[in-house]
Amino acid sequence: MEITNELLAAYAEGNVTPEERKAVREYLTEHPSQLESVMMMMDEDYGMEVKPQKKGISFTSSRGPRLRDLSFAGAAFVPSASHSSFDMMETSMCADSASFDDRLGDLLDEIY
Amino acid sequence: MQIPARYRYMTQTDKELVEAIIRIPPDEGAAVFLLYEKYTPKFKKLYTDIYQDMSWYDDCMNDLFAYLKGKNQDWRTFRTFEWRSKFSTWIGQVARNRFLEIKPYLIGKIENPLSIDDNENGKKPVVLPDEYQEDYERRQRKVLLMEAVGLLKDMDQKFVILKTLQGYNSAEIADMLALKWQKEGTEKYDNKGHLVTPTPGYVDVRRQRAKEQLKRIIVEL
Repeated sequence: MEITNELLAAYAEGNVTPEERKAVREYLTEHPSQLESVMMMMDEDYGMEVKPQKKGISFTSSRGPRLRDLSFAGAAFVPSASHSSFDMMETSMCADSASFDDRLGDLLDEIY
Repeated sequence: MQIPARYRYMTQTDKELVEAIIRIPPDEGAAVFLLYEKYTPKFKKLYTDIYQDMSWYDDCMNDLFAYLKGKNQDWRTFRTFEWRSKFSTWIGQVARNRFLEIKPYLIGKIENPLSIDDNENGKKPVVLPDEYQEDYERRQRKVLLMEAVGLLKDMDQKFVILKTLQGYNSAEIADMLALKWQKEGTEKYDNKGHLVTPTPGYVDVRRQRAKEQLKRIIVEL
C-alpha cells in the first residue's frame, strides 16, 4: 500500500480502515522520523506559541526572572526521587535539549 | 456596498476556499488568504521547528505557494486532495515536507530549486535519514503509543501530552491551555464551584492521568 501525505493525515485523525492502519503502523515503524509529523498532525493547536518560546532559550530575555524560574533553578540542586524522569524532564528549563524521539521514548518508558 | 474579499474569505470554510481556488479561473486571493494569513501561525511553527531563524521563511512560503499552484498554474495539488482528513491537518504535512525538501537548496547544498511540478496525490512523505538504533519492537511500541495519544478522549490530557512531546514545560503548557480555553470560551469549575485556571500543577495532574489512560488504550490496541 502506498503511504501518502493524505493517508498519514487521515491516520493521525483516526480515519483509516484496519488495513490502512496496519500499513501505516508498519511504515512508521520503519520510518520513525515520520512519527513527529504524526504528532504535529494530531495537534490542532500546533501553531500556538507562548513566550518564552521552547527553543533557543535565551539568557538575555527581556523578561525579568520570576519566582518560578528561581524555583526551577534551585530545584536543579535538590536530589529528588519523587519525580519520574518524564516529569522531571518536562518541569526542567533544560528540557529543550531533548529531541521529540527522546521525549517519546521517555514517555514510553513511563507507560511500560 | 461590496464586502472586501479578505472579510469574505474569513467567513468561508477551508472547503469553500479550496473550491474557489481550484475553479476556473482560480481565485488566487483565496489561496493568498489561506497560505499567508489563515495558517500563518501553523506554518511559522513548522518552519521554526526546521530552521534556526526566520531568514528563509518568505522563501519557504513563496516556494510552497508556487508548489501548490503547480507548473500549469491549475492548483493541481489542491485538486488531488480527497478530504480524507481535515484540510488543516493535510496542509501542515504538505508544508512540513516542502520545508524539509527545500532546505538543502536554501542553505546552498544543492544548486537547483526543486520542481514545482510534482503531483501531491501519491507523493510520498519526505523521509529523513533515520539515525535510530532501537530495536524493531521498541519502535513498534512508540508507534502504538503515538496512536494511543491520538485516541485520548479528554482534550486537556491530549493537549498536555502533545505539548509535552513538543518540549514545552508545565508552566508554558498551562499558559497555552489558558489561551486555548479562552479561545474556545471554555470555563471549568472545581468541586467547590470555583473557576479553574490552568496552572503547572493542573498540567501535571492531567499528564499523570493521561499516562494512566494511555496504558489502557495501548492494551486495547
